[in-house]
Amino acid sequence: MKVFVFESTRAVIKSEKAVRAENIECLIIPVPRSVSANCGMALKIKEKYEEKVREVLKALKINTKVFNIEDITL
Amino acid sequence: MPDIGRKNNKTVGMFMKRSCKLNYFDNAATSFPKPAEAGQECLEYLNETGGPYGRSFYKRALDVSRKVENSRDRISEFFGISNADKLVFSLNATHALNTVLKGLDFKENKEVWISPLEHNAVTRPLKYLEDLGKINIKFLPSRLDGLIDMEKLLKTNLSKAGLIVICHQSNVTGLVQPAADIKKAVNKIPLLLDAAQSAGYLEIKTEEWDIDYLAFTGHKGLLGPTGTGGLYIKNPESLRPLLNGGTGSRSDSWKTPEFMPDKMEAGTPNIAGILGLAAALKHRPEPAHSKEEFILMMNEISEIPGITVYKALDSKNQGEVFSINLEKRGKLISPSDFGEKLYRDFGIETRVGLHCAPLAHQTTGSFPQGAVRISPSIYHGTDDFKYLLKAVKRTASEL
Repeated sequence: MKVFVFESTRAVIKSEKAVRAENIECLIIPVPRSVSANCGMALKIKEKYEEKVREVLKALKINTKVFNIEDITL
Repeated sequence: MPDIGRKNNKTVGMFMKRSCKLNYFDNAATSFPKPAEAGQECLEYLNETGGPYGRSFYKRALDVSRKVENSRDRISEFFGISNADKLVFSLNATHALNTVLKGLDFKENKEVWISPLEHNAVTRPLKYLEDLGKINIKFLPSRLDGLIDMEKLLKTNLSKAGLIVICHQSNVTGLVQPAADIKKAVNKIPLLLDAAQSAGYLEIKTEEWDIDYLAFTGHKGLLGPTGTGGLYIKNPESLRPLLNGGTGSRSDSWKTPEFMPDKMEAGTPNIAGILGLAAALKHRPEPAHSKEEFILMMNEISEIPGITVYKALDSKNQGEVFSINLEKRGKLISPSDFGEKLYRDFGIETRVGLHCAPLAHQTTGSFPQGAVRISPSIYHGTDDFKYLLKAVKRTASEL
């Protein structure tokens, strides 16, 4: 699984909407503690969608950082 | 056209329970009635859904965060703004205006040029800044009614101007300034458009007009709840935030985030109000009167013996507000007496005095006594105008 983290609440809400519009399943989760320097919410998606999601967010000029869920200390 | 008298109209039905006559002509202070859905949306949030904006991940918090962001999108679209990240919520227009005026670093360009119809929401923060030595207030060239004189403006030396401030629609005379033309004339000098009175009454094409800062309130022409408003900022890096505090983002840092909208939105916003404002926009009725019907009513009032109407000299620059005074036997009747009699005898609710805009009254010649302001609603129909006309006529003859 991949976790996308965002700067602001607006960014995560916008991203969720855009990702779902592409019929990509996603889940908003609390940002894991080890990457907590962001807006408090993150988007969890399946690894196979990572590139597509990156493209969608790039088109919307939304800044994001992506983490592997196994790299994160929950 | 909305059908205020039609039965089975949900909005009107709720309104009719509150009042049988639409005698409220103080919409420039705050609009009434509102679309019923605006209040329902606020109540639903307060009584049923609840939850914080942007601070948590559970469904209740996410649902409300989505609604707030959808509201931001809807309001941005209404004002012709393509990037809603640049629109931040405020408590009202005064808050938004202060955010710009106190957030700019004027450096060498200390001159702030204003129109002669500005409200105290602009003049008071500017006077405060002038007293601190941070700016100098200058007046844009204008015609008798306060309309910016475009020919003279083009010849005005604005080399030290740091900001132009324009009251889009006067809250005293209803005069509408040509915002797009003014911005074109001043070119790269930033323009702050105070749309407190025009938002909801006039179309505002923020990006097309190249407006740098747009300040508006939600509770007047937009028909939303009090405690709502917003500010569009074309270049967010141009402003320091007015308030610093929690944003739910970068919580590990003492520094306010630099990204929008968080940079300008410290503290929990007025969630109930924002949702109500978006509902008001969604369920906005068509006007119950035309511009021509409004102008006709205003002109008929101006023909009543002894009445002076403070308005735009050219009706093409007239918005839907104007003020009046009455002179009898060569003496001005106190606006307070005039307004009170209109209310006591006919139930007509107006605002008398200076309307927090002494500068506008100085410009129109109604300072210091002020005037009686008539500010209709989108819900007023021609029957309401006829009643108002009758009330002013009778009051004028009896005083």
